[in-house]
Amino acid sequence: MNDLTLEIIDLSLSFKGLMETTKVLHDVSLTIGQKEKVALVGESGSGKSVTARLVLGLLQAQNKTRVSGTINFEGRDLAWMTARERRQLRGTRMSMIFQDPVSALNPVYRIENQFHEVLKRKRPTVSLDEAREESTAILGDVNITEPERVLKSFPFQLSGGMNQRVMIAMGLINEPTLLIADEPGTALDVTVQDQTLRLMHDMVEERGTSVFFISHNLGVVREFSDRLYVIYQGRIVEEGKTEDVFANPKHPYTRALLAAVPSITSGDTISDVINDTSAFLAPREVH
Amino acid sequence: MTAPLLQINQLAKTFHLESYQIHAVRDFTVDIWQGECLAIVGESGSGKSTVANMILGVYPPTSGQISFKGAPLGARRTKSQRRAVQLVQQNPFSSINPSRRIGATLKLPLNVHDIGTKGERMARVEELLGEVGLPADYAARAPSTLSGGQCQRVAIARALASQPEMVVLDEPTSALDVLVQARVLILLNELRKKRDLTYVFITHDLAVVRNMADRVAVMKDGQLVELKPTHEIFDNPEHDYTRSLISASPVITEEEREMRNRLREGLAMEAVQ
Amino acid sequence: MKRTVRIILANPLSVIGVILIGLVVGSAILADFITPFPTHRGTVVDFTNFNQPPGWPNIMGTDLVGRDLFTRIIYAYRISLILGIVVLLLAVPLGVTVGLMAGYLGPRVRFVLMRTTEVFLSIPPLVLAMSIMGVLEPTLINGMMAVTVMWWPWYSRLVYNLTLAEREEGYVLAAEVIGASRFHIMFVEILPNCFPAILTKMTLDLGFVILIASSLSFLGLGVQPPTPDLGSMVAEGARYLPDSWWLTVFPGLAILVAVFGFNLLGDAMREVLGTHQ
Repeated sequence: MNDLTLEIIDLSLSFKGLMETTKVLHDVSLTIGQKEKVALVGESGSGKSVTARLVLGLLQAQNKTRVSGTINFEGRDLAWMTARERRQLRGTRMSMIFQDPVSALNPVYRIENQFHEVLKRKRPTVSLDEAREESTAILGDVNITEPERVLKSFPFQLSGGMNQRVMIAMGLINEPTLLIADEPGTALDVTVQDQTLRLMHDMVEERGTSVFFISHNLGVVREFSDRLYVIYQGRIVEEGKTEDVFANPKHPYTRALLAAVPSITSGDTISDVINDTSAFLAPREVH
Repeated sequence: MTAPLLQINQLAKTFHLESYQIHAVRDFTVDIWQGECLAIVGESGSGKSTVANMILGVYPPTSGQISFKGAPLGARRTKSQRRAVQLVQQNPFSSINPSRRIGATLKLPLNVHDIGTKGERMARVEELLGEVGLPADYAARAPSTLSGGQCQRVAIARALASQPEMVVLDEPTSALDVLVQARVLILLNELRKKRDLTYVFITHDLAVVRNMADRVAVMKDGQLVELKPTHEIFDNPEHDYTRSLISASPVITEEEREMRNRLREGLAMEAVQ
Repeated sequence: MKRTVRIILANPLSVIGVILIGLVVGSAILADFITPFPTHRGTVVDFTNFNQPPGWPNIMGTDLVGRDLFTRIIYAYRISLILGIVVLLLAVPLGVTVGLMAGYLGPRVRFVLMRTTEVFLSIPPLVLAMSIMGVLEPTLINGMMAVTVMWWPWYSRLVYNLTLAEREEGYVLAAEVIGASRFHIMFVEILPNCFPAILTKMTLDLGFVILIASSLSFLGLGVQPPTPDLGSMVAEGARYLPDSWWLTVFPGLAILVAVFGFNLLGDAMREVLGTHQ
């Protein structure tokens, strides 16, 4: 009935500790349409990464977590799927790109074998030769000029930027409908990060992949996303089209965040920061 | 005119590994003046941290010389030389010993450098906490009860405890959230004015540099590629690497985007030519 | 404290460990009050009541000269625990100091100290202790010495590895930049961060020290009669198997309870102190 790629409704999450239960998400709701790039922006501990993990179905099975609310992926409720069905979605219909490409790739296998494994998730019978052929094509798309050499390499033999491009290629090779990118490139140098983000942008535009983009970096979000949600202490405080939110931030927290980012055009931008955080709990603003 | 506070002359550092060697820093020369904030900017592997470590005396240079107030710094530093140059590191959680109370951490420089009598030192610790905006009773706290920003304030207080003339700030805010970063940067600026400190600010974040530094040294592959007053480096970056660094910085406002797009176009034009 | 209790209560094995060790340590401390025949720890001979199977009042039976076995086992615990604690009090500071120095003081010190440690580690522990005891007179003190000599290298290796990791932490660099002495950095900055792992290992080791000491006395190289000792009790009783089974079974079980208990307690410590390896 609806054509949303991802729909999260009133998602709440608590961790049961030894002493007490900590609530880390409070009724988070967000949607990602087809071909839409949506960012979830927040500081560390705001709950943005656990939201991504919940979408991937990685936290539901743990007995220390309590989850409520609905996550619909392509119209199907994740909660009604078995753990096996959720596992089958990962790497096929939805895939993920991590912050640190070097630790996300397995150091003991060649890149071509890792591509092979990824392809086998969708088509279990695919041969290594077929995998090589398809990987070569997609590595060309991420501007890797010597795909043969890269495929024969181990991850540690490649630079951080090269690994990040391999990750992007691997994330997209099964043509997922949703790509979850958790702080991609944050571990890399700025120039490399900039290149990989532009590359990722072009790749998903071309393929019409929806993107769920998790980041703490407002500048990167501004560059990359169509729409954004700002999350603070497990609550969505502002949502809207990217340019609207940046042009006219309404929520006190969003304003404080934007004011705190140093500017490269004038040398005197960070002179007053709001120290009173009580206003940050004001209700959600929608553009 | 007076002499520079710190003179770095043709500094080089080569690391010998088993089968090859790395020239981490080559022919690095810069004078740092009393009271200024000099930013050393570069990406990983540029040699900026190696320069910082040599300024601090963590390891000696392979060749070249560092002089403090005209006196060369040898391989073994005297206590007063150590006292004069202090450090704030990137990771606030790692730089504060997790098994010692904040008070003990702040007392260490006072004990090592014999500052004040034993009775006065506790009061001095509380003063230092106040100076970085933390309540005096934090002296009795364990580091695990502090946030990243608070730990970084403790690290700043520790660096100031020995009353240094120069502080090396090695990516002091890159592990912090933006709001916390802004507060820490404001604090660093205040302290610099109040205590007439000289900063060497090591970072990869050009927006932070624009807001903190008087002069900028850009490093690439162990070498100094550009050294200029801050506004000049942004208004008129000469070296291609400087331009690509500026244009790669994530930006927010329209004004910043224009500036970046101008630089990108310039770089693209040159690439064509 | 409250957290500690919760973590222990959450795991039944931890609870068993705490109970077992509580019983062992408690009975050893209160031996004079809880044992039915406290004098039987020494040279008492009662031929009217020798080699009796378990019954009343000798719940674990009596030995070949008529002494109450239960009493002697409790007193043997006392000796074992004292031996274990003294051994660790000697071996741990020595091993820890060697490990800290090897990990922090540079390649030459490291070479000398760690090669020495490895030499000790490469000799099978029991063989080393036996050869020492072969040269020296078999007394309690010498037994402790022998076990200490084989025990410290394990701590030097543990602390060496921990120090290698800790010295990369920022707080060590901070102390160096301030100009703190190497002694301060090793013993005041680094050492406290190694405590959780050291304490966990000490708890686990207490059981093994008791086991090794028992093995030595089983071979006749440890504590000498009439002092009650679990190892020599098992050795002595073994000659009268299977008829007088209680002479070996109860001291054997006593060793098992202590070693098992300290292992479970060590695992509990690991959870409480967060020292999973």
